[in-house]
Amino acid sequence: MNPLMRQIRPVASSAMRANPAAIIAARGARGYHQKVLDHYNKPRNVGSMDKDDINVGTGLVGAPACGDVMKLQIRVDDNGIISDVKFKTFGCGSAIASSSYLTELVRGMSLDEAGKVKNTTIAKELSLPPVKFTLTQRHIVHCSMLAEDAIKSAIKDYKAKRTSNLSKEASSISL
Amino acid sequence: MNLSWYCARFGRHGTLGRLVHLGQCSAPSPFREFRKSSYIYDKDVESGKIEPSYYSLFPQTLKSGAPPNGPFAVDVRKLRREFLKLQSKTHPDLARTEEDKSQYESASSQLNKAYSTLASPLSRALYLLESVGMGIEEDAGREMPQDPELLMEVYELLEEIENCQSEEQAADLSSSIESRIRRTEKEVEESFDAQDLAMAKKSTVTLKYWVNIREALKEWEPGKPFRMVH
Repeated sequence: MNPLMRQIRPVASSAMRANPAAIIAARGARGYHQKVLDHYNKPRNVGSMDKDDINVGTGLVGAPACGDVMKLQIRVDDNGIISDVKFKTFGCGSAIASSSYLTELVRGMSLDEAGKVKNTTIAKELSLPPVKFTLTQRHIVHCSMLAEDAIKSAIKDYKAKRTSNLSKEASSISL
Repeated sequence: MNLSWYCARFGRHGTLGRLVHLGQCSAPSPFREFRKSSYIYDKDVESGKIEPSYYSLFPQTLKSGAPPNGPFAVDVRKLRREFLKLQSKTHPDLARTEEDKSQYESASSQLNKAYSTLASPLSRALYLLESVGMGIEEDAGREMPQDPELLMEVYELLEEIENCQSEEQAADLSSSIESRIRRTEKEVEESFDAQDLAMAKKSTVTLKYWVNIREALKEWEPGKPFRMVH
C-alpha cells in the first residue's frame, strides 16, 4: 500500500463512525450498483474520432484529486444534432460508467440539450454512491461531474472550431 | 471524538499530543498538544492561524517547522529514525490497562499518519496546501482551470501504457515517469521555498497525476487489460 493510502484509510473509517450516511456510501463504493457494473464491464462507444475533423468536438478533462482522465468526442451533423459519440476514460469504475452512460444519453440530442445535462441525472441513473471520501472528509467528489465537464468541454471545443473556421472563411472571402 | 486521556499510573489527565510521552509522563512533554477540534492542525484560537502540527511531532528532524519557516525538503532518513524512536514509546503493547491501550493505539496511528504524510513529497505538499486552505480536493477539478497541455500529456502516457506490449517498453515508460516525478518534485520544492503557493499548487497537481500513473503502471502485466485502480 502506498503511504498516501495508509494516510487516507484511517480518516475514511473515522468518518464512517461519525456519519451513518457515510456507511451507506462506503458500502455502495465497494459494491457498485448493477448498472455501473454493466457499463464498466461493457462500456458503450469506446473509441476516438479525428480531432481535426471540423464536425468533431473533443473534450479532455481530468480530476486532479483522484487522477482520473476522461476524453469525450462528439460528431455533430448539419442540423446541429449529435450523431455520434465516443469516449475513453482512464479512471475508476464510476468514472468509466458515467462516461459510458453519457455517450448513450447525448446521442441524438441538440448541442443545447446536451449542454444542459447535469451530473445529478447521471448519478441518479447509475445509482452512484453519493460521496467519495477525501483527505479531510469535507469535500465531495462526484465522478459523474467529470462526465458533465467532459460533454461541456467537447461542445465548447466544437463551437470554438466552427467559429474560427467561419472567420477563416470570411477572411478568405474578403480577400 | 474525545482525544483526552487519563493516566491511571500517575492519576493525570492529558491530551493526545502528550500521550506520545506517556511512557514517562512525569517528564515535561516536548510535544505540542493536539486540540480536540482539530486533529491534524494546531489552531491558535486567538490569531485563528492554522499550523500544520504534524511538523511539531518531530522536533529533532523538523526543528524549523513547516514552510515558510522551514524548508520544504525533509531529510527522510533522519525523519524515519526519529519516527521509529517515537513509535517505540507509543507501542500499544506498552499499555498497562485496556483503557490505556486504545489511547496508545490512537497516538501510535497518529504518529504513523504524520510520518507517512511528511515522508513523501506529494503527501507533504498536499498536506501543506490543505493547511492553508488551498487543498486540491476542494476544487474537485472544477474551479481550478485545467491545463490542457498537461491533460494531453497525461492522457497520451496512459494510452502508451495501455498499448504497451513488452516488459522492455514498460521499463522505458517507467523511467520516463520517474524522471517526470523527480522534475516535478523539484518544482514543488522550489515553489514552496519561494512561497509561491499558486505555483506550488499547480506543480502538486501535476505531481499527483504522475504518481497516479506510476501506480497504474505497477498494475501493468503483459496481455492484461489496463485499468486504473485507486
